Amino acid sequence: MTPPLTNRMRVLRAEKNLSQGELAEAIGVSRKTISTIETGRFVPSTVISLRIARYFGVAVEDVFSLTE
Amino acid sequence: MSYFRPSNGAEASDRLAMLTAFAAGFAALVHSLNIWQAYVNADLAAALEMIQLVGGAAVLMIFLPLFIWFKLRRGAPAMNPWKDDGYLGAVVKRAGFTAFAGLLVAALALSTLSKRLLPLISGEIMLDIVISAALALFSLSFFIFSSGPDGDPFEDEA
Repeated sequence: MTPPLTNRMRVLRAEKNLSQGELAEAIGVSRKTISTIETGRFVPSTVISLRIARYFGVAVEDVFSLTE
Repeated sequence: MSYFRPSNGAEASDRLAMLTAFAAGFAALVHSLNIWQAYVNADLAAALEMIQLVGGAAVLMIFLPLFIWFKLRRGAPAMNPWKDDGYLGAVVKRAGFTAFAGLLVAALALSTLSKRLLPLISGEIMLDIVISAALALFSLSFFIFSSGPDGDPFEDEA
């Protein structure tokens, strides 16, 4: 079974004072994609994960991590 | 941002996916009228045929222009609900797989029971049942898989 994935997107967004819509537009995905990633309902692809990390200027591991 | 004026290509792509699921559900409903027509009296069958005609025209006159509208607003060619790797793209694929699995199970069940069912139901009606069920299953699974809490907590707090 795939271990649960957690992420710090909400924190990173808050630091930049960004809405989900603004982040979605910046990385070229829909707002629904961002909201479902944040709540853990959707596991993003490698490409989306890399785009998010690049946008915040951090490593992918600083955004996403496995809980175990 | 209104429903018909998505803010970016990705939102347009999501709207396109939702519209497709809604249109599939509507098409299932319209197509299923073929089944009822075989079991009702001539007057009601004629009325159902008229409803079906109007429904078919509605699909062409409402969904088709909307479909083209959202497709044109998608922007980048990569943004396609069937190809992109966003949330609703994944839901479309999952709903498509569910509909295909349902179609396969229904076809196997009908094939197994064909000797018993064929004297009662014509082959044409059987096909109409399978097609309507597959369309309805796609639409229903899309809305079930995509339902759930949605919103921006920061914007909600503001």
